[in-house]
Amino acid sequence: MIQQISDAELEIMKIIWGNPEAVTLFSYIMDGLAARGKPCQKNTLIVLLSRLINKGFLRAKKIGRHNEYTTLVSEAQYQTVQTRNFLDKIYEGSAKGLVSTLIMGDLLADEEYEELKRLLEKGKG
Amino acid sequence: MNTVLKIFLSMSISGSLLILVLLLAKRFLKEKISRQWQYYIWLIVILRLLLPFGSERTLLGKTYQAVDQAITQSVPSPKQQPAPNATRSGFAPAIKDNENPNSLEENLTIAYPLQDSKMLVINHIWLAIALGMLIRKITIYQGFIQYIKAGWNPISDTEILDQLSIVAKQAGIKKPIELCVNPLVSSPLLIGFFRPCIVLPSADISKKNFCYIVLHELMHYKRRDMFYKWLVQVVVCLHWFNPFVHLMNREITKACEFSCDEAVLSKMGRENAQDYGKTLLDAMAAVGRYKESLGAVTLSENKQLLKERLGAIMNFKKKSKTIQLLTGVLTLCIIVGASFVGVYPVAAAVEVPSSTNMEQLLPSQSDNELMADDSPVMETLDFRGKTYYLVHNETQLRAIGTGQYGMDQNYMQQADIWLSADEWVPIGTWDNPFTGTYTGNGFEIIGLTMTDPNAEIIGLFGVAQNAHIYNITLQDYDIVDAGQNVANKSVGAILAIGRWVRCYDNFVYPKETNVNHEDASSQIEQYYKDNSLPLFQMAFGSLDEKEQGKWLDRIYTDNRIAFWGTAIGVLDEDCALIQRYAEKTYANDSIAYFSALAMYMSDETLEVWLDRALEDKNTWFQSVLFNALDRDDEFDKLEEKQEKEWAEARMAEYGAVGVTIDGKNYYYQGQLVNIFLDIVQRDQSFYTLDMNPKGTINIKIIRDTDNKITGVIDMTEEEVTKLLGDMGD
Repeated sequence: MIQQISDAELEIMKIIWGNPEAVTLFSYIMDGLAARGKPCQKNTLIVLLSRLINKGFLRAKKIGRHNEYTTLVSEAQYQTVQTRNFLDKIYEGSAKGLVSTLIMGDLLADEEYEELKRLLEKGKG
Repeated sequence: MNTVLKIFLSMSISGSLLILVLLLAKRFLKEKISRQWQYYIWLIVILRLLLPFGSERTLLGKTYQAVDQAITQSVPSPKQQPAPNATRSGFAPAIKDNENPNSLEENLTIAYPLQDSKMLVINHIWLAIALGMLIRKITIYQGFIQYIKAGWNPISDTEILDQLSIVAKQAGIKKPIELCVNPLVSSPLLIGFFRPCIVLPSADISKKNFCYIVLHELMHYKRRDMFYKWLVQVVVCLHWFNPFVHLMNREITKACEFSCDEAVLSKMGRENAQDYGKTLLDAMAAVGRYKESLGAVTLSENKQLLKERLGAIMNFKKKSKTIQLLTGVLTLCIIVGASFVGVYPVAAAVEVPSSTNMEQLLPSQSDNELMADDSPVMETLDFRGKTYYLVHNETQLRAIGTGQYGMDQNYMQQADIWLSADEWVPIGTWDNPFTGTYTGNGFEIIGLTMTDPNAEIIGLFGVAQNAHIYNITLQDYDIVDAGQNVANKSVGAILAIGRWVRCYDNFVYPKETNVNHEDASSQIEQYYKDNSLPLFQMAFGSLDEKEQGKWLDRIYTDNRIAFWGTAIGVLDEDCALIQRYAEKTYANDSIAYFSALAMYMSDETLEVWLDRALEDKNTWFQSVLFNALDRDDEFDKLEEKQEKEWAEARMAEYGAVGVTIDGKNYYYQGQLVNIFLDIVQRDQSFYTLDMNPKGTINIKIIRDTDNKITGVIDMTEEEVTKLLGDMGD
């Protein structure tokens, strides 16, 4: 069961997910937040990271004076769970409702629409 | 009673006393002394309540023993037996037990095999309740934490978290602090010993309020108030039976908030006091809404405390140096008080045998009665590895130092002793000093009399070395007439001369002399004429200042320096009379009289006089004053310098009239001088006289009334004869 995380926490997770390295260092996250225009205090980040650890999203390994963070939940896993929650809440679990809203609401760009179509065909086959 | 419980009870009583003292002190000093101090001073009480150590001599030690005895007497335990010998042996294990306070539990079973089972039950009940209370407190706390954690929401707003981090950094806290909201808590609070977490009732507060609230909670964390609180809880549990300890708990809780407010304000500065106060009020308003259902008592109590806190916040100011000093002194007093108020005297009983427990060791009363009143033979008593001779009467007391009753033996007085009027011979002389132990055991020695005017050593004990003399009470002793003819006599009612002697707990009451205050003036006249210094001193001491002044004038006029010193000896340091006569004797150059006065001046006064003497270039007074200030070496240097200056000035002066000095030889107009005389006119007391047998001329320096050298003349034959004749005398 994947827990809910706050926006600030998600921001941090995105940085870690975006890191091509297997492990992420504290300073990498700090820099990433600054690059996204959301700098914060060192202790604030520590508090947020420890919440993520408690929620089972991250594991911290102490190497010398540094903490190395590894993700326990992948971005795809998180997205799936979140979407399911979203579907349950808004569309009573119906994916069709969601897709039709996307199409009807003109929320999809043309290329996206084509790609989705291809994906659907493939899924059928 | 078993020992653990006894020690514990005594700790509880001592602690209660301290608590009372502190509560009383708080009444008077609340506003004046730093709140921090008012908070942390309780630590001393807590230590007193937790640690069974005390100084060797304690205030309550005897009281505890007395109570102890009363209890033992009223509750006869099976080990007490009627035979007197059994009392002795019965007490022995208790002593053994006392020597080893660290393994009391162990000794308990050895020393009290027949221990009253009732006492053990009490012991167990006490421990069980204490443990139960502690467990209950812990579970309540755990429940509370769970309750808070169940409904909390971590604050995810990075802006607020950043604010918290900044405030924490300012407060000097490195640890990251968790921040949560739980609408169920009534006011902001801090939980967690090692991973601190601040819980707010709501995140919807102004930035300023947030800062103050958070800073307050951070201060709690920084000062480790959680640990302090739990230490107090442990004490409360252990002393559950003591209402004062519960009172203390309440006081500490209050003082904790007060001192935390103070710490916040000293960080934020006085100008923010009002804002901080408002924040408190806001926080408390929320409490009011939430706790309405909890009843009026808590609410009004909280309001009362809030009122006090607001008052303290508005009055906040940094404490002055004086207050800081005063606080320091007060702390010291309380610490000393805490260690002296004592516990059940485990250690004390071993080290210093006090009269109370010694009486238990006496041979039974009937033994005493068997002895003839004036028997010179002393019984012995073995007590803690020492053999004491027991002193019952005058004959025995006077026998100390003769035969087998050597100066190196131990003596213990066993009864009040009335001495006859026969001249007392002090125990111990220079050749044969007293080196043993004498304990008066609280008994009195009455009517010691010494009248020998040639006595050099005057006192119950004469000379003692490495001795141990204590607990003596000397009543109606009369030694004023002794040693009248001796200049360097040594007088001390208990001990005249001692080296490395432990001498304490002795009380002396001199015999009322027939000097009456009414006819003191007539008597003093007689003493003065009789040359009786001691009696004169006593009579002089009873006069009023005006009369004393008259006498000092008279002594000064009569030039009786011995009386002068005696009289000055009873005056207070730096008193008006001393000041007055210092002025007078200084003006008159009466060095001896002045130096007697200097002995009764404070260092500050001496410094003032020294400055004056230095300014007046008054070498003799400088010498006295430097000496009185214990700075002789400084004077020696000064004198050396002055002499050099003086010699140079003299050379120049003489040179002007044609006298030259070469080493020890004086020359006048090229001729070697035989007799050289230079009398300083002022008081004829300063003169230079030099005689050189090889010289051929006799000369004399002529000075005018201003001491200026006006010329040199040859001495007449007559003058030389007179001078040499004077020398012959």
